[in-house]
Amino acid sequence: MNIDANYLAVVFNSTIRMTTPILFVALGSALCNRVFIFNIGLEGMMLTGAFAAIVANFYTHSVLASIVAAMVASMLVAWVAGIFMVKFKGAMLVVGVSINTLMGGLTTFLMQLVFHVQGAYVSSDLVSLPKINVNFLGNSHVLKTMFGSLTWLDLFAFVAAILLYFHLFRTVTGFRMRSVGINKPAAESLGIKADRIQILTVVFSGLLSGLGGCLLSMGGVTMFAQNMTAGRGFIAMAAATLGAANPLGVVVSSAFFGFAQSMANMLQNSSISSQLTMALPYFATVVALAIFNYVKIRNKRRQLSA
Amino acid sequence: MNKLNIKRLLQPLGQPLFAIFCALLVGAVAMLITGENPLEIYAIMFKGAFGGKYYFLTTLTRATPIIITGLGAAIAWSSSYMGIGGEGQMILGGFTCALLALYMPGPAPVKLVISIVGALVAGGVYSAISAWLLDKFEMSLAISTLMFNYVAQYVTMHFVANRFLDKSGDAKMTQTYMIDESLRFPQLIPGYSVHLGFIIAVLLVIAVWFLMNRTSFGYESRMTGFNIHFCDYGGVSSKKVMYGILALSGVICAMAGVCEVLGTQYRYVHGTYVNTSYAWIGLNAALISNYNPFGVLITSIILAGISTGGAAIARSTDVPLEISSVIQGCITLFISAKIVIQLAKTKKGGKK
Repeated sequence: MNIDANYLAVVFNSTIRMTTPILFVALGSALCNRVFIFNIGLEGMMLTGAFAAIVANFYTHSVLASIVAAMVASMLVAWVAGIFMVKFKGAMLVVGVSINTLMGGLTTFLMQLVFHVQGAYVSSDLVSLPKINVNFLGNSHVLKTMFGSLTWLDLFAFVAAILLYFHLFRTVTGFRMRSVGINKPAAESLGIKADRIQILTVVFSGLLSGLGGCLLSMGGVTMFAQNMTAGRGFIAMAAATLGAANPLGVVVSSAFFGFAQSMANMLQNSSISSQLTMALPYFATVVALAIFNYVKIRNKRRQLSA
Repeated sequence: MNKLNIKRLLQPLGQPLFAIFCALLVGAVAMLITGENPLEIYAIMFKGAFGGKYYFLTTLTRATPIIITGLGAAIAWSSSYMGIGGEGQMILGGFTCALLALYMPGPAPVKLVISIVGALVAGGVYSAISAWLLDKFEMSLAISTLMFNYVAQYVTMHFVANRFLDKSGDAKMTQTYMIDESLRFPQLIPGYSVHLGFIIAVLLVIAVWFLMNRTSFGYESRMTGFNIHFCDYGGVSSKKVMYGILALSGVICAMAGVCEVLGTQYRYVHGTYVNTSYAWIGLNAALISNYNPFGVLITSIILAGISTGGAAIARSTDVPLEISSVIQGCITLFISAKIVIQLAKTKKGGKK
């Protein structure tokens, strides 16, 4: 294994492709954190998106229909979760765990019903997300490798992060959302409909995780496998915390997890045990969070003593 | 007087029963989609879970790890330490137990004790790491335990696949060798799968109930769940209690892994605890029963019944096995809404 520009370009490329599904969900999680909702059900919503995309794909062979289906299905699930969390005052972790159990079961249940297969469905009839044409980058092989085989949805993940940053910090609705997260009763006393904002935010986080799921099932090999999200929704929650629920910070933290996952994949060809490299992203999450929190706590103590 | 008592006893059951009814309704809709008659399917499901000695005892075998992980979750969650690490703790317990039972020298009884104790210690220490991260780094318990589930799963897989792999049989499974027969839990009724682990689970239910309701540790841990500031004010070290609770919850969940290794599989098989999602069902049982140990016992048996019943319908009809996860997810979802119904009740009372 020799490390040259080309190799680094491959790593860069696979990092982006690993990052973007997580980034979508992490953005959703960050928004939820901002309105004081701890949404562990994102894992199930992402799975819903991944599944709905393939189902729509199977019936219509249309990319647009698949994306819309992923968004709508995940939003529906998120709406149920939001109603139970906010209106019915269900404990957020309980609702989230239920949503994950429910959707984990339901997607597999429906997969057997629709596709008559067990475990995974893959077919050459399915269409993939269209790739961005990199010919405009000229003749540089390295540049082409770096940005090759990316989809428009990958690109949109980063655009969404920037848009959400402006939404949160530069618009009135963004301000209202943050005020609900900081102090719900106070926000309500100012006439803000806090319950509605919380539910809508959960629904919107569902939309984002739907896109993340769609990217997961249609970005590379177009397929659906039982529980194919494999904890990505949970990693995304960690990324949102690590990025301090700031959309731009979340881009950085998601990229970190994307990098860890792409390293796990790259190292599978090396002499290091592939099982250990698979544990790497999860372990890295804990270590990164520990360092992040340690710095935060130390700064807080300094401020107090100063 | 008598009537009042019965009412008070039945009241906590009302909500779970309502939730189970709603979930069965959702399940019925799912079955209608497959084109089957829900009533018939439920009848097959019930028969496959509780109809007859064989099915009932199979359900009890399946309930064993669910009860134990449910207790582990109940202890932590009732004190507001909402960890989701039962799966990892169970994996580590089972893995450690299998390796010690396989590779420790010495006479069988000593080996048995050491492999069990070793597994419990492993589970406790492993769970205490999350407690330490919460204490020193204020890291969300939910996130750290979730991440550790995956770490435990892959690290143990690494050791099984690369060091301790059973190369004798069909090489498709990532599993260790079988443990010696002298170390296995005896079957309670010869010929039926239910084993000593079920008795252990029932004893644990009583022990946990006693611990939570009749000892000062239980009182302190409930206090931390109730109000952590009050607890510190009252001279209880909430940190010590936290480490204690989380380590204990890890130890209990590790016991679930031990029972699986010594009682049912007689070896550590990678992926079985994840695929069966025992720890998650256990957590669901704890949630449904509102962390009451005896409630955990009953709900676990019901949930295990839904699983074995689900397997029965998957065998004989076109309804996929996953109907049981769908029903389970719905039960906990509807259970979570309990506060609202109580609120509605008090409102009604106010109007009168």
